[in-house]
Amino acid sequence: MISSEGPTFSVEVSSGEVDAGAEMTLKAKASCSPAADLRGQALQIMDQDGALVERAELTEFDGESNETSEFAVKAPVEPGAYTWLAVCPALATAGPSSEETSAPFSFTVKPHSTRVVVWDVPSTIESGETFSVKLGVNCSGECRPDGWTVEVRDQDGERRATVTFGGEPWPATSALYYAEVELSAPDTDGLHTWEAKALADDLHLPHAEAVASFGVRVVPAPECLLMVVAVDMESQTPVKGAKVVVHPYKTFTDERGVAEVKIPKGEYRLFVSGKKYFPFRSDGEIKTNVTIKAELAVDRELSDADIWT
Amino acid sequence: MATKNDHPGNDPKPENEKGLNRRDFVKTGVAAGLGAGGALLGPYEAQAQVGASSAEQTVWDYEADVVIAGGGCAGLTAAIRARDLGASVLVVDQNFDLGGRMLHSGARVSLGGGDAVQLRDMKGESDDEGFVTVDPSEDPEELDDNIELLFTDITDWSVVDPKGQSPYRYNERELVRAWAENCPATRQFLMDNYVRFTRISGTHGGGGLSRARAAQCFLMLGDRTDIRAGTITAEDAGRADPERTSPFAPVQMTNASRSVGPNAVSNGVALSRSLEFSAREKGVEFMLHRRFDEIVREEPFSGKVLGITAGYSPRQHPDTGELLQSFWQNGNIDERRETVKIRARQAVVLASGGHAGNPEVRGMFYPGLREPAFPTSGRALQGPGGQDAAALIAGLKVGANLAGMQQNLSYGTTFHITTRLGTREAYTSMMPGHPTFGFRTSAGVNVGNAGFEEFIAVNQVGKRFFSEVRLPRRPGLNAYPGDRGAPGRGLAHTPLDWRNCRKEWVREMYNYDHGLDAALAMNEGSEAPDYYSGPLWAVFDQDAVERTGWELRYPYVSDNGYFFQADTIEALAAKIEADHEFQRVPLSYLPETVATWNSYVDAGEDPEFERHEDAPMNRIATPPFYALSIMVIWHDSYGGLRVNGRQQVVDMQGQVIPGLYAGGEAVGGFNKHGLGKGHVHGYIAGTHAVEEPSS
Repeated sequence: MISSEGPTFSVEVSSGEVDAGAEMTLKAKASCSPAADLRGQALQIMDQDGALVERAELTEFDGESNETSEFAVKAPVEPGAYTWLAVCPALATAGPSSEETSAPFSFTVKPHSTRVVVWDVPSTIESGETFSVKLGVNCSGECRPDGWTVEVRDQDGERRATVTFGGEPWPATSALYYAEVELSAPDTDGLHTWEAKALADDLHLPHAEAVASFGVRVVPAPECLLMVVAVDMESQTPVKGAKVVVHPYKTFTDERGVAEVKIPKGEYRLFVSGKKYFPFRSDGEIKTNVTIKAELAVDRELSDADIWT
Repeated sequence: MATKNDHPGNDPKPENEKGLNRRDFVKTGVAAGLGAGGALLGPYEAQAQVGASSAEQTVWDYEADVVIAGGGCAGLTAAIRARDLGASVLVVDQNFDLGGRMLHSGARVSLGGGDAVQLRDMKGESDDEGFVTVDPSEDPEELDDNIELLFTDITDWSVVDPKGQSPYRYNERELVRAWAENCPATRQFLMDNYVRFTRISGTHGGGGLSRARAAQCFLMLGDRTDIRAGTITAEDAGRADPERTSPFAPVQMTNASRSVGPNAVSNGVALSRSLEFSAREKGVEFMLHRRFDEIVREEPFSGKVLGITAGYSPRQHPDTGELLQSFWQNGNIDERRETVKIRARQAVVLASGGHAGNPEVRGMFYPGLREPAFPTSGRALQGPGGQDAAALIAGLKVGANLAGMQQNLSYGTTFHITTRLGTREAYTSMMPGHPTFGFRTSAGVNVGNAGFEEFIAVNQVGKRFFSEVRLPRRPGLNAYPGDRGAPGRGLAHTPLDWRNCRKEWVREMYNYDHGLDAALAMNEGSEAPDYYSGPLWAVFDQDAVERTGWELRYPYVSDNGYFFQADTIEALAAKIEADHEFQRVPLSYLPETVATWNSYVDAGEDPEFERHEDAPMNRIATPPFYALSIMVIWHDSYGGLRVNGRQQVVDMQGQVIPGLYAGGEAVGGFNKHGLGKGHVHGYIAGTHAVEEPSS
């Protein structure tokens, strides 16, 4: 809490920084000498222009000082530093030693922090193909997305798409609003770094801009078929759902324990792992269609029973 | 939920012929000519007891022949042994129930030297009750053991483990000689006290490389829980519901059919509850919620040990505030005064565990583990008083010597990163059902060693610090049949052979990555003088959850500050900072770390920690985002009080402290993991404690 104290009157603000247009929580404390029960007396919150923003009431008295309960005040929309005033007229008439009837308090209004999330980017895309990604936007004030715009720019800064948000949050999130966008892959092979940028110009409340980078990997057309057969090393039974990674290609084995990956010729490192298995690794060069049997060892290198009595 | 009242026929009531109750203590004590001081005093018959020497100005509240601090592995064994030899025995324990960590252990008891279970399996025989119906796991020659071979194994200077440490070189010779000689007798002792053993399979850590010596303890599933009959209900065993344990079994018992036969279940419950049942049946008395504090000695650094002081350490249910009750109550003394003084007419046995739960004490071995965020195992089960170094502290105050102080670092897995995430009590899988579950509120998610490829691990400021997949890896245990430490595996191992530690071989077999040490490093964000390591976090996304099937719901995780979910990485970092009790600094680097990680995934290469060499890498991109705590658990304590072959505590001049014994993890100088050490210590201590002259 931040406190601006006069000798007999103070105001606490829940945080020195507050999002534009968001609610601040205040609590005021007033006392005088001799002590007086000022419950029921009003106090006023005045903004930097002297305009009345909010009223509150002193509701608690402990024999020495009076307090309000916590009350909410809406912060200004415009970012910047502010000093407001809390005024308690009752203090002026409460006794001969009452000196202060108002107390300034300061806070800073900031634009809403914004986050951009990019997911479901395919791990490989062939040149010229279209692909889709999901974009999510979220702000510190959990604002609804109406009016939010996200631009997607490629490695050369060219704008590839503009997305306007609306609708509901992504499942299992509280305020991450999402959209799906279709994009075209670059013409050249390789890993390209693209950006998704949330634009804040047209929003009702000020928001900071936010950028998220994501990789777009363009690969040449496949030339070979790599078939992976994953089995349990001990039982030799197929392993369904094992993760197959031949960077940058990724897939999972099916109910037969089989995964098929179409890839260009070249040197590769194959990992097969997941579920309860340690990673199986195989390095080599693939020049033609090939089948690799991955015998997976169960993760019990050192079980609890092995170690702990 | 099964309680004691559900099976009154199987309560360990003292047998009229064999056991003693409080009144019988008085009668027997007087009849045995113990004199005016031979009464067991209690709150209803309290008398001031004033003896001859200056120290005996002490006003005693209770007395017994043998007073034991700690009702776990070593303590219960010592109690029963002393009782068998005719002593009155009083055990104090800081917890609300007996068993210590033995109760939640895997019950793997590694003894040997030609013990009864080795002999049984060598002959291919079953046990006396006919429960063991599977064939032996080991060949007869792997079980053909003797005391000399056992002693040679556990003092073998030449054995070096894959961490480059020597687990046997620094063992105290007299201590481990006595241990080896008493292994067969202790095995038989346990069997005589309702403990049933599976087939032997291998040997446990620190138990030697030449022969198979370890068996687990089991019970048979049945219609009722009856220790005498060797049966337990599925409910009591925690087998009826995969998400429930029971007041009887804090950890669900495991299927032991492969090492026993159909319907066998195993873990520390089969060992601890059996011994407890026998102890209560034989008339051992217990004072629970009672923390051992101080040793009372005739003079501060000389003279006989006269007894102990013990403080009230109530454990209350975290939700109701009610005093927790032990599962069985027979033999319990309900004493609630703040401090009591208990006189030991013959001996005090310190069996209150080690120092793993005391960050200040364990920090002498590894300053990075002064970090209170990292607990000992069994913190929920035993409470903050578990493994609190009480014996070590009290022993030093009366002049006790120490032994094996470097051995915390020479056992490969004393402290380790656990694969159970999302709970502070990361050693066990305790589920709701046991009264102490409320102290942890989540069972945790056991991701396994393989699961570490599914997330990034970050330190207290949100930076990665090691290849994740190397973090949970632990070096081998250097126990039969060997685990890449010794060049000869199984029967091919040659004890006392210089080739076991030839440097070329050590270079070849060295297999330790020091990820744990990176985790404990003095981390950015720490400020003098408190250079804490800080909490560790596994950070991952919704894709990881769908790949793995991890259950991110109660009872595996809960809103207890060890599991977090958020819309964005930034929000995740903010939640951790706000709600984790040991998060002293913000995870300010976490968003950058995740973005950098994702770029490494896209590139297929991790230039910082070479993760790409070990396992596939996965983007962290699909919301929502998650964080689970990664725990470093200090489990075992090595290094403690010095004792001789009779478990008598020895002082700094090499002299025995009369009347003071110690066993289990309170003792140093024996780099053997687990129950086998504690049981034999207790057996030896109980045997010799009753030989002390009675005062």
